[in-house]
Amino acid sequence: MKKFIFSAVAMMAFVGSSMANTSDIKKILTDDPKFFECFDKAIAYADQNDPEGLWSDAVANAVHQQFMSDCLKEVEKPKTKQLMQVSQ
Amino acid sequence: MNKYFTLLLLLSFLNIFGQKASGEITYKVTRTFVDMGLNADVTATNQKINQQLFKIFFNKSYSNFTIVEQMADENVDGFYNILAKIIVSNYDYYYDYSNNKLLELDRDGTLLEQELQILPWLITTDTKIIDKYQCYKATYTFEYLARDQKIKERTATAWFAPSLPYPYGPKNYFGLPGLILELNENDITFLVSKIEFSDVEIEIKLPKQKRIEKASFEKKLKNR
Repeated sequence: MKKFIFSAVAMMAFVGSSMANTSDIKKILTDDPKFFECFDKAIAYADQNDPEGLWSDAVANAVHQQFMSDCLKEVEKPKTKQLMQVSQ
Repeated sequence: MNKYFTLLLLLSFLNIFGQKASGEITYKVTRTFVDMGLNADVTATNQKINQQLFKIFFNKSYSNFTIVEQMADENVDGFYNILAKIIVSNYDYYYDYSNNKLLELDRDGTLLEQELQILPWLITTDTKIIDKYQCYKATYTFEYLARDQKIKERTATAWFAPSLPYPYGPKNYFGLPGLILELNENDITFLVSKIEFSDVEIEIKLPKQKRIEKASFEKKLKNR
């Protein structure tokens, strides 16, 4: 489920008008600043690593998931549960 | 011509020339990426990409394309190793020629299955020498869903050696009338670094996980 959520967020973030959607996502999912610190880093990593948009959707999602997963290791578990519940 | 007949014909043709029982092909990876040094994560990942080695193992029934696992620190280095693997090749590939199947094993254990199909390569008259073998250029163009959610076209370029009558290549690039010694995909290049043949058959074990039909799996991902 966690993987699904991150993938869904990544998918939405990569669509053209990502900034407005990202703001909506932030309000809906969580108030944890660590999440969005990691999220922003993941987006920046993708943009700098693949400036020409050569990555397929599958690769982009996998990279984003892995980046977020590693970056969020310090997120407290109760906040992660809240993230999942709010998103369902 | 029926694709299965074509595959059978190709494999029969290759057998006429007395292929070796087994072999092991090693590829080095390089990335032609202009790293401006703006992001430490990108730089670290690229360093890992340029250290990667992959191998193809083959016998008369199966072949397997897989990364050569290298020792790495499990903390920061482990993280960049994983990202490097995702970018270059997120799967191990297994070809089952007897049953005409291609298996793709993801890092998370998901095993996708599809029918083995000959790719519509466009073979050119361009040639070059790679590791003393005369190679010909072939291209394969296909569509993919890019990360900006647009359908884009990508062309993979392969240099294959007809004097090495094995239809193998990195990842799922397969079916040329000769071993692929160099493959260019995006800004990633696989270049052969070692070729070893054996008259003794190398054992290749197919993954035992439950197989998921690839088309239906991708459809589910798309519709979620």
